[in-house]
Amino acid sequence: MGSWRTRLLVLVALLSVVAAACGDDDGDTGAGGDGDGAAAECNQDITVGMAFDIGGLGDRSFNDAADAGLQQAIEDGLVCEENTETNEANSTGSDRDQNVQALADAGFNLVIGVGFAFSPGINTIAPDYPDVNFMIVDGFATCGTACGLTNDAEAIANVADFTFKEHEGSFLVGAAAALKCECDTIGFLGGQQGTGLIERFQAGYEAGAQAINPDINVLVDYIGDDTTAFNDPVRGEALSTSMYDDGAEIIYHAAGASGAGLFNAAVDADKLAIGVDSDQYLTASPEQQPLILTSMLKRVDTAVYTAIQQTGDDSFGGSLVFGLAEDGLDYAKSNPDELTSDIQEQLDEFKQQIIDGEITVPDAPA
Amino acid sequence: MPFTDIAVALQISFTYFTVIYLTGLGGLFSERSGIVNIGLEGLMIVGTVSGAWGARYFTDTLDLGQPWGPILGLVAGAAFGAAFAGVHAVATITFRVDHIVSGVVLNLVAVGLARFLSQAFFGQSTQSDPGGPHLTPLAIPGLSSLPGGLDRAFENLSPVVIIAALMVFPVWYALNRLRWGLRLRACGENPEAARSLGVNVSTYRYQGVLLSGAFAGMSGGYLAADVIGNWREGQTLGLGFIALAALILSNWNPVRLLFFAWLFGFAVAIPLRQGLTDFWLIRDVPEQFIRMIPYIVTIVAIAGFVGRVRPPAAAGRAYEGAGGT
Repeated sequence: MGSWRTRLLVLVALLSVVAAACGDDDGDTGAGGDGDGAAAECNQDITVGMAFDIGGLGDRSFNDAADAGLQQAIEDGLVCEENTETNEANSTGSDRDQNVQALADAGFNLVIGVGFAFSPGINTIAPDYPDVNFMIVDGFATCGTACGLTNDAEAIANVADFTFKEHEGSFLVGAAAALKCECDTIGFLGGQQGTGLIERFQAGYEAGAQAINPDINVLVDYIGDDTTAFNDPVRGEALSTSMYDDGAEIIYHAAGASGAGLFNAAVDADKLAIGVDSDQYLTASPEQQPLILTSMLKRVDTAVYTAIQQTGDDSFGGSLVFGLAEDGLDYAKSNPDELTSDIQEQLDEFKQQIIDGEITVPDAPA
Repeated sequence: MPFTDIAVALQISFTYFTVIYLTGLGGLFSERSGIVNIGLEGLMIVGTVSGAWGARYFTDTLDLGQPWGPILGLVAGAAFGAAFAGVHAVATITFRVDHIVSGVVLNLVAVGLARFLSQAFFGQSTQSDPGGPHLTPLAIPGLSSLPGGLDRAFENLSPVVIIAALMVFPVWYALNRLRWGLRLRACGENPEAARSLGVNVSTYRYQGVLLSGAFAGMSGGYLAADVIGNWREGQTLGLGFIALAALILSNWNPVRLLFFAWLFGFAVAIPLRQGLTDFWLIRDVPEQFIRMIPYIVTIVAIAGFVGRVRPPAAAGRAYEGAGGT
């Protein structure tokens, strides 16, 4: 028998080191790396920590948009690159709260949670870190006990939810879909059902399409009712194929990474699709590109940039809502072959009407 | 009757079938040799990242094109899966670590290892670029021209689906007709007896575990490269555990596994078709319950209500007598 126990111990020790090393979030790769070294001048007074959600850096969508805001702030000298740090949630998001707490413990002046799922965790820990500003993109932390959270808004004055009027942006792409296809059926693929967030996209999309064609039929399907619904392209493709089969000429998705399934289905069906959050035309494969009519742009970068700016000039406080009027939303124009200039003209008209308050877009499905 | 809906549900079920069956076959080799392998999910995860990389590397960088690029991508997934399974083999066979503990470690390490490999392969930690190369779908004469919408079931059929289904023949033959298979099974049932007849138990168990890594890795590679087109963290969605359930239910039999892998795949596919969920009885059952079917069936089966589920007698038991160290 001899020394097998010793060897086993060594093996276990080795494995745990490997596990620890690998499991550790590869932290500041985003902030570090490709920066151009010494920025001319930057504000040394503040430090910024950002916790990405599932998908992490490189998702070409939500998280990358947030990172773009941070990089812009660094470039403009609002914060020094060496004073920033980022981390990424694991594939189920189970370490979100730990990641945020680690940043708060490290004493960053501003801690940003990229995604609504950070709300409960930040709501709970915020009173323990009165000197830290917390900003949650799409957050609902200040909703307090009414939303089943621990603390009410008064107890967490250092927390701000930065949200978007996604229904306003979705209105534009809904109108674009109806204008483009001149058909009677279009589709909507949602990610997680039941939080009210993705339902805003649906409501705006339906309203926009109906503004062009009051009789239009909008097929609606959701992938699931937990956050993994945003990371399931196989189901996304199956549901999209189903809607294309049922006559949808164009499908708009608000399903995060599951949207990759929509684009695959669009190629198979040779029909159009609409992207979300960032300009997905730019990141699609060559066979998908011509089929991506437009994307609903959500300026997460603007929200992040604003939070950093506010922290720098001490004006941070209170939640903000970004609508079309605040440049928080837009539609993408990278596929002019499909989204022709006359469609764009009409969309810009709608945009102005929404900004002027002539059109009020509903934020919940009828 | 919603024939088109059934056909499309079948089409979706073939995708899940392929993933579950290949992974299940992996588990089968390992467990028939006497090594419990609950690390299938972890082996698949490593297969997804390396398979997606391999498909892109061999197709674009080495410019091998179709079909060799994507095929070598699958081979890369299998190779990395086997290498990672080697950890399980060394731990359980050479060092006689508890099989469950080692399997759990495999699943936990895989998540970090995948991020590490992703950084090395793609320069980003949680995904690769979408739209990677995949095998050209097959059109099978006859099947792809079935009437009444049934042709949809075989539309865009990946060759891997056929290969996976055909795999039942060599696997069954190897296990039941070859001397190698008899010895492998003997190691799983009664290693002491096998050794007394001159069989090197450790060698066979190593082969079983490495094969399990190769099959699970290939399955992961198929999922990432062929089905989705890029690697994404978390894309295995627990299918490795479903494969484990199918394996148990099949009584460690490759022919029965064929059926259960498809059945579980079909259960996943039903809620994805509006036409089917509006249909007759299914309409009244909440979607969540339909998705539970595979697990409920498995628990009922393990509890002994349906047939007899009997794992290889020596599976999970440390074997001290090999003298291989």
